Amino acid sequence: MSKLELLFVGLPNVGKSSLINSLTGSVLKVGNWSGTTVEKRSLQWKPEFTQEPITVVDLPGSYSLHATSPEEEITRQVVGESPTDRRRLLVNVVDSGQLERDLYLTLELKELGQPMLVVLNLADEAEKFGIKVDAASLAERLDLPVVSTVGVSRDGAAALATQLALSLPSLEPSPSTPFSSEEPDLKQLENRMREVMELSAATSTCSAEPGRTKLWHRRLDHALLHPFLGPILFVLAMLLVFRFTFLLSDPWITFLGTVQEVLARWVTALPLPALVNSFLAEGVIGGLGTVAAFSPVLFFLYFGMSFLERTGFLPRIAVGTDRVLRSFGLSGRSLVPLLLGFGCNVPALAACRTIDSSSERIRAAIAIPFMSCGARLAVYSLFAAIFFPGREAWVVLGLYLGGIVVGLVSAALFGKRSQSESVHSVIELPPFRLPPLRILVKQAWTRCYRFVQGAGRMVCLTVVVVWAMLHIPHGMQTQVEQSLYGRVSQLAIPIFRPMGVEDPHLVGALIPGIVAKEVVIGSMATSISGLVPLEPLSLSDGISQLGEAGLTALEETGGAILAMVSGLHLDISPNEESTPELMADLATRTTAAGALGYLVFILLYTPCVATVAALRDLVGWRWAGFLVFYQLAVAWVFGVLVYQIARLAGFS
Amino acid sequence: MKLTELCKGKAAVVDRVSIQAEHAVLARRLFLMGFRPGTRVEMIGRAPLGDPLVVRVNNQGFGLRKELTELIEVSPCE
Repeated sequence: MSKLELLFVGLPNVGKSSLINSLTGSVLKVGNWSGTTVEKRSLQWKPEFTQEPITVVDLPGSYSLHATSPEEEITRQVVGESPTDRRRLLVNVVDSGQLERDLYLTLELKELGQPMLVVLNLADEAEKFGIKVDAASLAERLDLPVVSTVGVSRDGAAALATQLALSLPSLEPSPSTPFSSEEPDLKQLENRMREVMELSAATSTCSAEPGRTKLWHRRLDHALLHPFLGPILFVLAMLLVFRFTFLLSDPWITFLGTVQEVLARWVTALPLPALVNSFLAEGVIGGLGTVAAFSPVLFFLYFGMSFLERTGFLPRIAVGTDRVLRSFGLSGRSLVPLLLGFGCNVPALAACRTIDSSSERIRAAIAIPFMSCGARLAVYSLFAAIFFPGREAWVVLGLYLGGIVVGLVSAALFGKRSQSESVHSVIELPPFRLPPLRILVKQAWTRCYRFVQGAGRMVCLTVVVVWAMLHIPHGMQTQVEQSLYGRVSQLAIPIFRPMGVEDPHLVGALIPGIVAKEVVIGSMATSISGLVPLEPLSLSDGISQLGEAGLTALEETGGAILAMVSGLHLDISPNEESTPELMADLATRTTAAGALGYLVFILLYTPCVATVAALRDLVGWRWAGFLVFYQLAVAWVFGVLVYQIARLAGFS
Repeated sequence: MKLTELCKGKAAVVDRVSIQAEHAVLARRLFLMGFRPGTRVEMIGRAPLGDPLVVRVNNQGFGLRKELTELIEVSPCE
């Protein structure tokens, strides 16, 4: 028996991925943004109406089978092949409100002569714009089955499922009529377009009265494009997303910290040799804890960005910033990846795949690691609180802006600018849409999970390596200076002397900082105080501690939501890890100028192993390797520069 | 007149899209997006720095860089 295959084809942003999610109950990444799907993705679906598993393929949005972009090329190839070992059905997804635009592809697909069905998606949205499509009449004229759906709602795809149950059992493998690879000239385009216009005019009616929705959309568009209001709205939206992220994730990071501590102390209570206990408690559980500490920030950031993405806000922001980014050899398309970089560089680099010009992709990859991620903020806030009390916010803001400038200028310095990228100088602006909460949560969770799965292993492994460095030679746990870790730090000191940092603990913390910036402060604390053996904990005490921590986290989340509603203010108090003793101790280890130099180095040097891995996947080993050296060099130069200037300015 | 010159809030009908032969792909894409003789375009506005321009064609918004709107000839509707 040959395999069953469903190919979803349609224009960009007509809701193919949403429809698949709704139909199969799985989660494909969806955005209100053309080009969310940049590669062919497939999943296995076992529907109720048949015993056979069905391969569902989501193809990148295309205007026509005669490709005008790399994603369209993929669609063209997949649709054009004639497999004899598979029975396939083309599912052509059409935006009900855009028949004139979408039916061109439908006619092209129909010429392939393969089994096919047309889905009128977004029927609800079209209706709000006063557009009604007569599905029965369209079916008759096209001589194809036509169903109406609402991709985002829970059972919006029911009609499609019913139709599939009817069509699939009788499906036969059928060869594709090869389409002429010759590019059509405008004359041919016009002829077919005439056919499309007739078809669209005959099957859809548009009420002359512009509905309230239409007016509301217009007003919003005008506001976002307003020369003053536009940028203000944009900055406000971004501030809200980041504030939302950091406020809501903070209680959960603390909670996960408690979970880690309780687990580690339980392990310590086990009757095992001391070294094994330490390996399990600090190496293994420590590593998992570091990975877990990433996830609350990522979850809430993904949630916020998904919201902006799916409402249709982001493409407008892309248009608004296109001119500025173009001065640096980038375009509006790079904006989303750059913004994501402030949360975490790893998903930001993954998002670069949606940039279709390869030279722009490289430039974005150069800039992103300099976007200061959430993990670096922890180091800034601690040092700013110690060395610049009362002026913390200015120090932090300065660092963020510095990162943006260095990143954009670096992007402008590298890579040739090619002139022939004008295909990408058109940005589609989708209608504003309000995404359901359920989908936002699901999507944020999936993205978060994928990150933990992907980068988690690397982070865990490196935590174990650092643990080992601290325990070689064995038996010196209270004197970190004597361990391998301490010796490496000593060796590196001369490099950091010109930026005013001579303390082995500060220099040493930069090494685990390459694993993840989250562990910098923890490593400093460990190397200063020596490795304090963990107190064993009884099972019942641990459970009560966990319960308490959980309640506190819930309570603080509630408080955070209230605080967010009540007003905007940047709260950057240092977190739990930084005890008063640690703060007092660190104050003696360098000067204010040295602290600035150190922070600039933390901002600019290699973000973390996970980012390096993402860079390698995006631009290859050679670029990734070069960029690691480039980042180290830039960080050192600017660290020294800032220290020397600050010293002359009298910060000592 | 050129699409670039169309005032905010005004509508026009496309007369000609003059894109050089070597950019046939771009010409085709614009055609399929709706920028072809006879379609009605409406100027929504400009990005804060005056470029790109935002227009609406068949209920769909587009941000077009100035270098493109320079190539699209339109006649304003009354």
